Amino acid sequence: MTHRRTFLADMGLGFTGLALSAMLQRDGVVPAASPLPAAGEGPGVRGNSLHHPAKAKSVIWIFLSGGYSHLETFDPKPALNRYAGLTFDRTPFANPLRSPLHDQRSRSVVAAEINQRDTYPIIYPMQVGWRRHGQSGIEVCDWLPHIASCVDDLTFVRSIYTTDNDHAAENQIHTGRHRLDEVQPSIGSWVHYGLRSLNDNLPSFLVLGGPTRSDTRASIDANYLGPRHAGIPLNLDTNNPLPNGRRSPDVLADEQRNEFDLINRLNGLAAVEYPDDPNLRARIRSYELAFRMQTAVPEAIGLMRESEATRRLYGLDQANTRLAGERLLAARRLVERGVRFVQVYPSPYGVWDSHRALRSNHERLCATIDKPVAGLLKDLKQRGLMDDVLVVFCTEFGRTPGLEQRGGGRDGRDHHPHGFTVFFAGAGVKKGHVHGATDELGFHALEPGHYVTDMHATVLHLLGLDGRRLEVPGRRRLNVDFGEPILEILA
Amino acid sequence: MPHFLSLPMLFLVPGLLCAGESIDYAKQIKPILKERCFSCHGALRQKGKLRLDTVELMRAGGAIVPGKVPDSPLIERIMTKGDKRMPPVSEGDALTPKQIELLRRWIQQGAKGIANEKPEPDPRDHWAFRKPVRPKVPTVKNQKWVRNSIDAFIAAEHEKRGLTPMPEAAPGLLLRRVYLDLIGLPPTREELYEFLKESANATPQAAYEKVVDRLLASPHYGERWGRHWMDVWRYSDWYGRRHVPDVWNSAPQIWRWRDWIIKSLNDDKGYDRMIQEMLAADEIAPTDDDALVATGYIVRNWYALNPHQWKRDLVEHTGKAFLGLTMNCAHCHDHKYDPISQEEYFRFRAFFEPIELRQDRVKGEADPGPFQKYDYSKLRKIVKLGAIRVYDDKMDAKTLMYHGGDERNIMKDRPPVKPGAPAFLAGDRLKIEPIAIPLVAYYPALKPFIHQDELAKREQAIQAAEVALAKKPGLAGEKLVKAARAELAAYKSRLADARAGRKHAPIGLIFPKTSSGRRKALAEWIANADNPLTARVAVNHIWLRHFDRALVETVFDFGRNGKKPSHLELLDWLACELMAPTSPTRQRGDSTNPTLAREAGTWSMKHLHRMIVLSATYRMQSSGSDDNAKHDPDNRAYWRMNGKRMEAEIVRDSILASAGELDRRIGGMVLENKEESSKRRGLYFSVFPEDGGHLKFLEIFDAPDPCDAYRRSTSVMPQQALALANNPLIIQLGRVLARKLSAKRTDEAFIVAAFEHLLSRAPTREEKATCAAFLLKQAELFRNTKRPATTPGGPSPDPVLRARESLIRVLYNHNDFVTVR
Repeated sequence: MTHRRTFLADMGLGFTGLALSAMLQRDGVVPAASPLPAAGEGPGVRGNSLHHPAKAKSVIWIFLSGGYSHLETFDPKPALNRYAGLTFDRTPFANPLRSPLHDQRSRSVVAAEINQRDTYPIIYPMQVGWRRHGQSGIEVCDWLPHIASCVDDLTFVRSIYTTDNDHAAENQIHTGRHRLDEVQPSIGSWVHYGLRSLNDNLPSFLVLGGPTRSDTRASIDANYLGPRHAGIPLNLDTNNPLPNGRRSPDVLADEQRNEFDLINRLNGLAAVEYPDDPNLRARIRSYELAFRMQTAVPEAIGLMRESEATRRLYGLDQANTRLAGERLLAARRLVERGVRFVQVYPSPYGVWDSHRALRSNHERLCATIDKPVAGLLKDLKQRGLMDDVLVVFCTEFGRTPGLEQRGGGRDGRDHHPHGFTVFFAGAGVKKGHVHGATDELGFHALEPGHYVTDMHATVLHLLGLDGRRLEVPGRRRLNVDFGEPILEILA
Repeated sequence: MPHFLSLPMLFLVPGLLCAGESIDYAKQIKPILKERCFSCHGALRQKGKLRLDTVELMRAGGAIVPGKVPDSPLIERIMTKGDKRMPPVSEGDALTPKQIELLRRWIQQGAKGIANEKPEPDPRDHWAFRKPVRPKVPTVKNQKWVRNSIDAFIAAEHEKRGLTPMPEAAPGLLLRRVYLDLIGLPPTREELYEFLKESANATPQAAYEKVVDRLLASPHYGERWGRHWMDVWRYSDWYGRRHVPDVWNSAPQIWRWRDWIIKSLNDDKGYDRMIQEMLAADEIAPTDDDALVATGYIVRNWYALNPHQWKRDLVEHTGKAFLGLTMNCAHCHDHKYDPISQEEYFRFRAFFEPIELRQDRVKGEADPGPFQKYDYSKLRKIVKLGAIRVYDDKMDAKTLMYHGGDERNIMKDRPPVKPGAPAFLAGDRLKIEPIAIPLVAYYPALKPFIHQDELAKREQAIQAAEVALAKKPGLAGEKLVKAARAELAAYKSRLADARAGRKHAPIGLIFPKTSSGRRKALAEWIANADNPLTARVAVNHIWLRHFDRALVETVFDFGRNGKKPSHLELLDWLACELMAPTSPTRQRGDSTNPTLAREAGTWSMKHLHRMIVLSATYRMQSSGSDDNAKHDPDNRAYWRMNGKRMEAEIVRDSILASAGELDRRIGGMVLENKEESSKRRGLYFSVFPEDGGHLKFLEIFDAPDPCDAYRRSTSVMPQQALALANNPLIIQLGRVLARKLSAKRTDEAFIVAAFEHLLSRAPTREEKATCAAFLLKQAELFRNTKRPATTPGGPSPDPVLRARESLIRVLYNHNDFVTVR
């Protein structure tokens, strides 16, 4: 005890950054490589090791808001053309609306007495052609030629389902819970909770382009894990990337450096009085990280440091692909620097939601993300990062095989939680693989089907974690929250 | 720096049992049965007339035959698949292979139990389900430490565990603690000096009591504790789709409920009365406009899209907040730990079945119009006018039970349930009688201020028409005057008819003339000295917020699955003291100024606060001793005070107050979070569970989750450092304060004044020297850089003063500033 007291008192030797951290670690005051010493912070939260060997170090989670059509992207269905204009009843297939799965797997937020969501039984044909690509021969629609050129590196899961038939499904795919249930922490925050940072100067869970709207905050929130595990939205403005992350223009850099130095000296002196106060020790470290973050974050998102060829690869030279391209390129820079979980929104809120004019809407939107996403995949591969980084590409639900007729609609598809497609790429997953399927009409995810938390379990599994062992004292989680890793897609 | 790669990686596989390993029933078997089987086969319920809570009962019930696995149905049932499996599929997964293997092995080895094994006690005998009886105050050896009864209970525990209470905190730190705890604002340097002077002139005890009484009488007390209770009662401003905007949850006028909370606390309204008004003001005080907004508690849970969700939230949180009961666990099946059946869940819901919302006109404000009910195709507008409140609308509303937590799956074979609370708490025999609602309450247009307004409006219309006619005589003008007069006459006649109860065209909305009386019955059952839970749950919340640790850690679960109290007798004594204050004992601490306690009514929260902060327990220093720490490193026995991080709002409020810039107005319309330069207290800004739902600064310091803040979490993260260091308002306030404290002071005197003002203590010699060196260094830096232009709020052009501004910023960032020591 005396030893530590003296040690802490001597700490006020100056603002020594890493050296100080190293001293603290040596002394065992804080766990090694943990950004903040606090109870309940991974690896694996309890114990000092991962739950099993990790295949991936980082995740880039790409989310397209609004619900892209699984049919007109990665799960094309010839039967829709064959039976176009007919009702489900008049096809040789079982009517999917009468399947018990229909009600089992979906639940409306809106009470039935307020509004009943319509069902659309008239088959709407495919709005785009499709072809087989690559060695694997995986079918991809013609609006996504660049992603199609990468299929041999991707694993598609065509049997994902969710249970909310409205846009709170955007939160659900991240938290695993329906809007009417108790809210849970988001997948990114679980990763943050379970894993130590790989970079002492950057936060471990960053968000680009989101949350897309005020009510989608749950998608990046940490809920009961506490705010330090929540995603931090970054601006791609290098002058002002973080809230409060910019020194006031009338405070000099050296002035602030001296201030941070003094803060830690004074806190070190106070530590003599309160040697057992864990918050105090955490605070001392937090000031070091804060000071370094102010320079590390702008550096990490400095896209101008990239070569012209790389910038072009992501489509930064084209107006329609720039937004997605910048966010995805920044994501690569962040995982390269050891950020654990980057959640990227390449498109604005809800734009994929195609109740009307699905053809023109999807054609235009596919063009905005196709090249940037493919650019990311190629870039990661070139740099050998595919061995460390897991890419997940997803949306909140698919779109109905039936024509949406609400309000006289004639050219769109409604929300479709019953079956849709996502893809994985990179560390630890198969290449050129398709897992799972929807029925012939693209309606229900065929059994077993994967609820969205199976995606979470897969991500955690590849990172060396078992969701069931990421316990939070006093919180009881349900089976549905954990999901099961999709073992069939693991390399 | 991929440190984790170098760590040893363990691939954990469920370990196979070693052959011959002897199984320990108490350690290896009973916990499995307790977790997975007891809820249906134990003291709570005995499905199939089988109990598994002792070996003897297992054997007697035929579940096991020691030594004979094949003859033990227990093993068969846990291993089978399908309908016969135990636990049933509806109760979750099967036991794991390892658990099954353990059970098999144990039976094989003869199913050895433990000596004198007792069956689970009757759940009704659970400590929290028995009415608290005021325990005898223990007699302790360390009598001279004891200031009031609280200390006697604490000292008894000290003595049992060989702990020595720490001495009283230094006067400055104690003053700062009690200020921050009671009003959420730190003392100024002047107040510190005043206190020290009084302590010297009179006695420290008298000076301290005077401060406590002054703080409890301060209107800021209501703000401070109001925010605490807003946490517990899940205060939230409206949300749903803020960006549209479209109101789905809560209501834009909900801030009036916040003001009611503040005022009720400042008035020291009884906690029992507060509960009654929140749940049923429209039934118990239908004409009291000030009380009606208390039903904001119910309004807050409103959900436009799904009325079932509104009711579900009300059941869950009424259970958790007031009773410490997890009623919600009985939504889909009978409660696993507490004697609450699924039917009782729905009976509890039935209290709320008839409710609906309305918005009443407020004196001095325009008519907000009728409450906009939900229509799927229409946006719900933000109405900030009027008072939002609850009333019983559908007297015949039926509560139907459903399966699986999903209202689509109605249990067709079950009749609608009647309102009632759990039988084990005598809640099944409530007398529920319809309540006649007074005229002005169901027909609010007849409130004098409204019809006076309406009459005046019509008279003004006549005058305006007459003036217009005088300016421009003619038939058209005459017609208008006539019409205006006719309108007034018609209104008067309708008003007269309305008052006399004659048939007439209504002059405003008419609501039902009766209310079901259901919520009144519920409220009276909760806010009752016979209810064993209510007072205990409340004092636990109060204790938690004084000591940063609860007596019952599971603050919203006092049931059998909750944590046991650390000091049961103290909890019960405090609960009794809340419900029926005793006149103060003639012990030091209570004696010098007994007026407050003597006058305290029943359920007085101020009385409880006063007892707590006057106790020796509360006044101890927060730094520890190695001897005690060896026995009780987590301070579970309260041998020292717990230091605690200020709540988010208090960090900001304290910075504003210490600079003398706090806007001290109490209450009023909610502030939007974009008004972050406002100098009002933090609790007046919007709080809602969506992006932008907190002031950015508060969010970083763990602002409350408006959906679940029964207790707040505290984090330490670098964004807090950035916020304190770079927030423009704080930089500006620091400069204001530096200039105030600088006047005619040397660097050394400035350092002392700054420490005293911000940390309520003098700097140590070492701190003084370090800060002095810093001031010189900063001043030197400024001398060597370009002089800043003089701008309002900008740095001082004088290098010495500018260095002092810098030191103030440092002290705002001091751990002792954001910590209540």
